[in-house]
Amino acid sequence: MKKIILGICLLFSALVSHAQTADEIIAKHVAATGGSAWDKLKTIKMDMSMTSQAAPGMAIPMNMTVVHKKAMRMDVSLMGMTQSSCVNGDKGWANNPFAGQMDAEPLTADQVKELKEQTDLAGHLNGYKEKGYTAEYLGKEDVEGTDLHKIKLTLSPTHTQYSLIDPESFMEVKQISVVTVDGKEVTSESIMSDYKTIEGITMPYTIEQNNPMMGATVMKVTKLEINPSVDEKIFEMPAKK
Amino acid sequence: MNQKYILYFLLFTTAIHAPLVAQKAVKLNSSTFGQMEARAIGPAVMGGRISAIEGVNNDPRTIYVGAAGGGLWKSRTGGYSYEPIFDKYPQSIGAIAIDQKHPDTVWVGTGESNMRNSVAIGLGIFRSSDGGRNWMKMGLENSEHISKIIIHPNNSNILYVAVPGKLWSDSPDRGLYKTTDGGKTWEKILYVDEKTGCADVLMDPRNPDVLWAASWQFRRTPYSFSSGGPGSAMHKSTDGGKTWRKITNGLPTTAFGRIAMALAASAPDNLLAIVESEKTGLYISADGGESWKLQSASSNVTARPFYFSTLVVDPYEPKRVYRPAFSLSISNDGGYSFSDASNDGGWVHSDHHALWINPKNTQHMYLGTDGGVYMSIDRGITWSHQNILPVSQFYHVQVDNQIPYNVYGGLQDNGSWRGPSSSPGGIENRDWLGVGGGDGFWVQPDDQDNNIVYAESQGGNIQRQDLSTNQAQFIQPQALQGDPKLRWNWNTPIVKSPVNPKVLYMGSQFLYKTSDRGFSWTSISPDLTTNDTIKQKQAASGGLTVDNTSAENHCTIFTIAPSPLDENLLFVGTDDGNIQITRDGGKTWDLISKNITGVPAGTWVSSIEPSRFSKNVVYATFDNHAYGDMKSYAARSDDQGKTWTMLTGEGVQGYAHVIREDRVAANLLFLGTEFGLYISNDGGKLWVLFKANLPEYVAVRDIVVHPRTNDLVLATHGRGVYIIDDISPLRLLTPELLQKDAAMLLTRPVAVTTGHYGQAFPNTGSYVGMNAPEEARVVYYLKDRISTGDVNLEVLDEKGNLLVTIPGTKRKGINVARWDLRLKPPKAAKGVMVQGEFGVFAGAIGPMAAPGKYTIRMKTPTATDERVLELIPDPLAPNLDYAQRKEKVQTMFGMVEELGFLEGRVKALRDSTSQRAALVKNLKTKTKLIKYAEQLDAFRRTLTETIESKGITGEEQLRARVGRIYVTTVFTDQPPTESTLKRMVFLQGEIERAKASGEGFFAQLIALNSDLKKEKIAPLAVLDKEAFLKAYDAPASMSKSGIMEALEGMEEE
Repeated sequence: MKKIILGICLLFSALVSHAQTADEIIAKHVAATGGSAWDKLKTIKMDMSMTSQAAPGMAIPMNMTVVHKKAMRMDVSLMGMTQSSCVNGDKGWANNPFAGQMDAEPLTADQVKELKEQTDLAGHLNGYKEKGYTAEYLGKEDVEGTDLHKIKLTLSPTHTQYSLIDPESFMEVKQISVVTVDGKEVTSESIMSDYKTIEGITMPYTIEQNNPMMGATVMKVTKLEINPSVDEKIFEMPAKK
Repeated sequence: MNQKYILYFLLFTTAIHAPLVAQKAVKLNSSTFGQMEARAIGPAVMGGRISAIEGVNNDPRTIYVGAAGGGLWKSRTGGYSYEPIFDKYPQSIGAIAIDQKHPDTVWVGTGESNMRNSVAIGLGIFRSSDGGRNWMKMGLENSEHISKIIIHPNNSNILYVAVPGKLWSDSPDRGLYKTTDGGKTWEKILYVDEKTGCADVLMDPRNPDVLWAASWQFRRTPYSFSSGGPGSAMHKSTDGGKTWRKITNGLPTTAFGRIAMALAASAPDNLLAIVESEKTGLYISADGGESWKLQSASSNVTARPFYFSTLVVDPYEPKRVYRPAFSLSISNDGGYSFSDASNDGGWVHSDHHALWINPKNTQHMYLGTDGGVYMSIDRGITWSHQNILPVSQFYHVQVDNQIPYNVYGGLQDNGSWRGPSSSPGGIENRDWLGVGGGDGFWVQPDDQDNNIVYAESQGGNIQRQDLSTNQAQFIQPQALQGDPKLRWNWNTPIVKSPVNPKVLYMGSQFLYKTSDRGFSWTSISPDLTTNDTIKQKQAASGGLTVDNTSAENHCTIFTIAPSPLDENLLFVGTDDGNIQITRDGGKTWDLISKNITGVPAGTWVSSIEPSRFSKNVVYATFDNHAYGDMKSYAARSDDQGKTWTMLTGEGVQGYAHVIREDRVAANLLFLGTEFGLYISNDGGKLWVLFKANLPEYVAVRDIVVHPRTNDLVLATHGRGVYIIDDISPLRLLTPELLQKDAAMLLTRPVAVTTGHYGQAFPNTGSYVGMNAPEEARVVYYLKDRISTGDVNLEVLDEKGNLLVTIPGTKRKGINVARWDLRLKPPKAAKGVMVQGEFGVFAGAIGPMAAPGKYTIRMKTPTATDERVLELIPDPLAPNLDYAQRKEKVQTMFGMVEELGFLEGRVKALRDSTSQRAALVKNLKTKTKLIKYAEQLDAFRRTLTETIESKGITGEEQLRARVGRIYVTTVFTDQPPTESTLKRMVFLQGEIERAKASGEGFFAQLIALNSDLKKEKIAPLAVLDKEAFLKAYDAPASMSKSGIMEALEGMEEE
């Protein structure tokens, strides 16, 4: 009898594992992280602190304001200077005081496109079909010592995202983004953890990036506001000094 | 919920879960090694054998290069740069095909078909649909070798795959295969017999159902090669492979060997074929292969047909024919006559196997040779080497004890080399020094003289090189009267005594010993092989084309293994299955391999490792692949070979090349096989694949544990040398430790250094091997991934003071945090960036920790563990006075912070004064406040740099001046110069004067505050230290500065 039950279990799990599709995994991921709560998300303000093995003893503050699918601004402060980058509709700008460029200068069309994609607060997997993206299930892959579901999401010919999703919690553990901006292909890998739920939405509060030369860099969310009022003037390109 | 209830709840849940958890003991597995990654050091200077090249017709900047043992590489820059894209799969590439209609779909057949003695095997065919980022296994797993893939031009689901199949044994898994469903199922559509595979296939571009194929009968044994026989033939099908007929008209009437075929795409009735036979030559057909006639039989056309099987016709000019072989021959008359390419562009490595012509510009082409990829832009006349691919095929590796140490090794068809394990700026091509020619194998540095190196070419041709004079002397032992002909292995062992640095050993069928650098040799053994004369007919080897290069030499000594504990205890292994032991320095010998059960008789003894912990213990590996047996064999004896225990179990793949014992932990063993590096932490019961930044299926031919650095140095046959820095963490990673939630592991003592820099201007894509870390690698183990909470590593001094906190990663298995030995940076004055002025960076650079003992305390959400980390003086910079240095750095650090505090106070006061001025109604008071703020601002402009400009201002205020002495001091390990120290004293005075001026300004507050009081406005205050520190790291937010927020907080208090 035990054997039969075991057999049925094995058969069942075999069926289940074969039946996994990109759609199912994405649906579970969206449901596990908030489901319809994501639809209510319109704006976000986030304070972060960045520490790095490359600069021990320093915490670099960053803050970010996003208006869903419209605008985003990010500021990084170091040694009394603030570097800002911003996208607003179909335009964007950035300054670079660390390189002596105090004034904001326009971003290229590709840079705007790339930043604009990041204003999608619901995440790219959420409603990917309606957004015109395609998803493919690539099977399981050993990531950080654990076998995770790997989903390939093609947003455009110049932007592909690989999401590694935990088969138990359905949280995204790792994301690899491959973006071609102005002819240059940039690959970035992020590892997410410290998922916390705020107003029904579950988001990672820690993001880690690894570099073979520099070691790990860890970004932690220190303050998160959901749907705060946003003064959209901050997205305007500052006048030249 | 009261406390009692919580306690019950916890006990209850623990009771349920505990038994389940307890049963599941954590075992070492591949992902345990985690972030303990190997680093590749190349070299790329000489490359290695390239077996396939294909490009995207519509975007010829995108090319794929397949190596014989170095995997698959993709370039999107026409070869300026490459990236490896096949690191999880077998590294021997036989064929590449790009679906030109969907160029992101790429097929790769693994296992090259250049059937030399050292050829590697594959595991079938693979497909990517995203340009090589991800791959799927698509079958033909038992093929071992694949020579060609053709994709139907109008139907991407139809493919033909030529499978020569197994080289070392009979096999039904060979012939021409076809799929019509994109690789889900395969049909064998042309099969002759178990000895005959398919070497080549062609398709008529006008009618894809018309096919030509070459069947090939071939076989190797450890001691012979045979190309040719009744199975070899040329075949034609006109129905997509359903039916075939042999083509003979005009071809030789005697037996064929290997046939290489080509078709003129612009005139597809014109075919060419090099047919190996008694009269090997180039044959052409003008009627779709129905009839043939002999053209050129010049030497490069007929050269080694089993090895040079490439023939290419220009895509538009049917008479322009390329024959890559020893060199590149070019014909302009359809193969009637040939001339050789020029060497004007520099030397081109001989032995060519692949050629791709850019169809958009046929002047532009890529050539694959035994020494890497070359590119031509003048139709193959001159060639430029793309010496950026690290696909060198090492046979062995040795190390010396210099700082940094060098690695030495010999390469397939690329000589012998020495290269550093680290080099300022990274390990580049220029760092490698050639120390021998031909095919290289063993290279031994002389421990008594860094200028002396012993290297060899194939067949035991040993030379002693003097690197100080760049002269070499041939020192091979010679046969004397009464001696039989000496039999030297292709890969003859040259081994140093680990006990007596003067002694060097070398073996033919006899073991030789020298104590005078090879000037004289003594034979210290009888013939240690089976001396089976049937296996000694190499002069007749090759089949239709004789090929006696020493590659098949047999009944020879392959392994010499002196004990590290006893100069007189030696083991010798032979290629025909013998392990012999002497306990008396060679006077008497015992055959101990006869005591092994579990290894077939006659199996090649690939390595022997006498233990350093006991004279009775010895390990050995055996490689039987040359009899078609791909199993991994490793054994251990605890009684000098009287009895043996087999070691390799489940999970180990690939025939075994080498086994090594760790120098410290007796149960820590390393096994190199044709398919990777395996590690055991329990004396060889459980083996797991190491894949952390090491290609998973790379052939690991040799392994050395460096005695000083504890590095594991790997010779790979296809990806150069890899180093796993400092394996001391593995020595603690026992089966017991793996059960802990979290544990700190051991790190070797770390030299305190700000780094050894080198300025280099590497070209795009040029190969730069990674250096050994100069920072501390803090290593810890986590049983599970931590998905909630932080891991932090606190660095404490000997008194337990927290010096700095390093953020840690949270992966399952080994985590490695890097600490660059810098402490917290000073809280320096803030200001604008000044390009080129490094004094303004003082606030971003902490001082170096001094040598001494530190404690690293790891904190996870559930565990704390700590371990001492020892920092030692840099051996490359001895005699540094760290104590004196520390004192001076502390003084300068204090100066930077004093100025930072002053500037912070002045700026905060300026801002709050301006704020008050806006609120004040009394015009006189307002004017006073505005003027005061202006004065504060002007004063601040002398403390720090404030000029905002696009240009390079060169502005230098007190911050830059003080910062400069601090930064220049903490950027070196040397003591500060006298001028720096004098300057320090001078700047101390400047800071005092600035502070006095500041106090003068602050004293004015009493009067101003009384004015403000009249207006009922809050008084002004100067920041105290605590408020300053609190505000210092706060972000300069978009609305107001952190300083302002802090000030407001202070005022409220």
